[in-house]
Amino acid sequence: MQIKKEHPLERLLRRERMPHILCTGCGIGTTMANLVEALEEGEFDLDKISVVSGIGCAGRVAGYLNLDGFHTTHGRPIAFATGLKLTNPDLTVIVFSGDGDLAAIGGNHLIHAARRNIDIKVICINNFTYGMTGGQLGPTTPSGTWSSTSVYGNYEIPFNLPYLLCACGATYVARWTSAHAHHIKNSIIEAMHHKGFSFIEVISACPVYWGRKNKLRTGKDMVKFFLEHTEIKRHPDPRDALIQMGTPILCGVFVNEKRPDYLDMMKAQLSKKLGISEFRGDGKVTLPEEEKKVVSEMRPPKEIKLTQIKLAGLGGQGIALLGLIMGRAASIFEGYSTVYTQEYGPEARGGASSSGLIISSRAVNMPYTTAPDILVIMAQGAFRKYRKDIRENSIIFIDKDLVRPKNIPNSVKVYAIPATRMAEKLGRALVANIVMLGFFTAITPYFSVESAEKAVKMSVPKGTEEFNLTAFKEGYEYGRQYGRA
Amino acid sequence: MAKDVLTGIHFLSGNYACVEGAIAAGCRFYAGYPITPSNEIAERMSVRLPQVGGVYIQMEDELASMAALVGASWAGAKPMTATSGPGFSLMQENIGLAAMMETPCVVVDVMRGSPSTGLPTAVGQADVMQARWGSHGDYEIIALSPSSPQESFDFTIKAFNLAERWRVPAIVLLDEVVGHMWERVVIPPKEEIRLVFRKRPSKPREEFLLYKADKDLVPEMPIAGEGYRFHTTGLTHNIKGYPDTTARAQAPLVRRLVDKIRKNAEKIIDIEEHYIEDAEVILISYGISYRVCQYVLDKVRSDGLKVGIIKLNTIWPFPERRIQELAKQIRAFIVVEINLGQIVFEVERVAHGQCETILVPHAGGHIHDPEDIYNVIKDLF
Ligand code: SF4
Repeated sequence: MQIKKEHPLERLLRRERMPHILCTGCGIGTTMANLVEALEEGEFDLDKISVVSGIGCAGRVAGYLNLDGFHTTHGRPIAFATGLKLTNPDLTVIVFSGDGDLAAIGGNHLIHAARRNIDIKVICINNFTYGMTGGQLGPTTPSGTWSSTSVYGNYEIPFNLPYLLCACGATYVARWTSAHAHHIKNSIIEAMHHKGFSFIEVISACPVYWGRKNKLRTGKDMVKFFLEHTEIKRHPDPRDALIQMGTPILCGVFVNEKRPDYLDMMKAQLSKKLGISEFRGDGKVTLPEEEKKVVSEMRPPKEIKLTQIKLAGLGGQGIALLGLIMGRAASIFEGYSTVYTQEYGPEARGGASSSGLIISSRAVNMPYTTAPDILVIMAQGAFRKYRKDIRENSIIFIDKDLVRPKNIPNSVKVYAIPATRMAEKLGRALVANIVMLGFFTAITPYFSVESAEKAVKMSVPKGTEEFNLTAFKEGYEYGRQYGRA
Repeated sequence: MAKDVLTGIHFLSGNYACVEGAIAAGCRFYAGYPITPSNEIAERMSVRLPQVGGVYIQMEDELASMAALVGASWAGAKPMTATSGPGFSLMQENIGLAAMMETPCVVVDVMRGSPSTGLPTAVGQADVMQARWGSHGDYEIIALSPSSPQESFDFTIKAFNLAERWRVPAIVLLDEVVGHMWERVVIPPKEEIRLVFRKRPSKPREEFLLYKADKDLVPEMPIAGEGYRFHTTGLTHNIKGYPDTTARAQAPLVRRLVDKIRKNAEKIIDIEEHYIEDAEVILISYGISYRVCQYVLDKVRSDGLKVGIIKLNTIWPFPERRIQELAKQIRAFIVVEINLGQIVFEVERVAHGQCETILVPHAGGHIHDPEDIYNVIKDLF
């Protein structure tokens, strides 16, 4: 006679971790056994399965299974599992945790993972209580029942988890009690083959706390109670699944439907647009080679002294873009140290828009324009706001139809152009900023026409390059004539 | 050229440069939650990651984002998230988990005025201590602080390398000004970017012990799905990774988590020194405040005052040895930071009365007025 030494499920359990910490009669242990049986029977590739738990009695399960196991923080196993799955979609990711972990502190992750239909399998032990910490009230404690923090009886309504999960978009939702070993096992196998967010609630015996204090002292009492108070339906309606003392616990498969999962949805949205067929976090994707378009050579800058430029106008006039293009021209193509900042915060609201630019042939330390040498002003409101910055010998550029400079020192040089009018003549007032850029380029020494044009091309929307360059030339010509007059 | 390393000359904001640094470093997983002033990082990530076959996921909150990072890392990703003060507070929970499980990951905190909601759109530097010990318990992390978009690119790559090398969360402490300012950023050719990946198991499964550290105190790291069938936990654990909630297990574990950074600090620390040789007074600063200091330094040096400057590229671990050395040679350290005193206490502790330690504080909302720093220096001469 041959004596078989190995327990049939030993392959899947970490023997060195036995005995486990679970109490006699606890439904977690039996559910764990059902999971192990399901994995055996389903012949899954065990190396590719990760099991993730949170905190609590059920949270210990990840530590007993002979799989890649993660015992994470309270409430976060689903979020953790999301990271695992999206990084390596070849993994099968099982979350095994309790009701407090998943539905109270982790409730937000539960509903959002269901909504996204992330392909993970969640086994939720619902024993109506926090066992690990001594039997406190949870979001699933039935109304009227005892917990160590509802000693007069619970006066809250518990979550109806199947209904919640169905509403959130989970594509496989089932409920059993820990007395239904066979059903649990089958459901797990079904969920393992299901692509999408799967949720199996196991109403589970915690004889030590919830049971003992609610007149179900032993595991046996609880199993008996479950068997006597369960109603299994073929197509149960999740709306009827609220657990109330005195009415049967509704069990069965509430939803089992095919719907693209998160990664499918992602691929459908992105693959065609980007020419990439797979998305995963571990970088194991071959990328198409593309033509190189970036600038790679920089000329050494000419010597200039540090110049602060303030650009201001109304939102919608393209002030930010104007500053950015100037910055690119000076920085990338002329080699100057250039700092560009936009105004953020409350000042940036209410229609005003301003940005600052500092250009120098030496390193620039201070990021902000504190005493602008040049102001480019495209609206009267902006002029009023920044008039205080105009000093002796300042240079200002204005849209002469929109800005009337008043009360400024005589030494200030004003360069005026009807930029908006010229832009309108070209067909779009929107390019007034580019007309101004041309004008500015003609008059100041900070960047050449070529540099400015290159910066325009790389900054404006695709397809509008030629139009913007025409606007630029208009402004530039105006500036050249201006210089002569 | 594939779209991963955008070799060439660019004009980028600090936030954008950070994204390019991450992608050049091999980051292909980002989980985050919107918050000002870090949003440009999430926005650009959502554009750039799909272009390189990576995953961008917008999570339901920062708790989830950080938990997803830890999961992603164990599946083989070099993951990153970005946030600002309030979100950084929420992330501390799973930053602690990452420290305990020894999980490489990068967290970018674009610092704004605080506490609480504080100044969402304006600068602060008051998360420095939170970066170090924001999660409960004893652990050490690595934090870097860029002062320009170029450094935002460079230091983000460095943060990934350090996270992978030492198996810790690496924090990039950007601030609102550096995050939002645009400057030239030169991205080198792909071949010239040195990348580090975590130490991989050198033994077969049967002999492998998850938390058995090498001489450098860092264990080898398997990845889920490779057949190692490992178990890891946030509980105090033994070298197998199994829970062992005893004082006996606690001491070697926590000591190693701390020592792997403290004992290797000199390999991690990166500071810059200028005009130190003849300095009687030394400015110490980081992030945007360093640039203001440099501006002041140019002025005082041309006044003939013997002032030097130290720039903390890495803030944590703290450069204790060097500061200690210098304390014996000079009259005073002047610490400039946008908070009411954080790094200054480290400097003071290390200087240990050998020289004076002076803080030039700022409550946040703006960078320092250079005059304020200038006046403190002038008073000393
Ligand atoms: S306390 Fe309750 S849930 Fe926890 S192991 Fe014991 S019986 Fe199970």
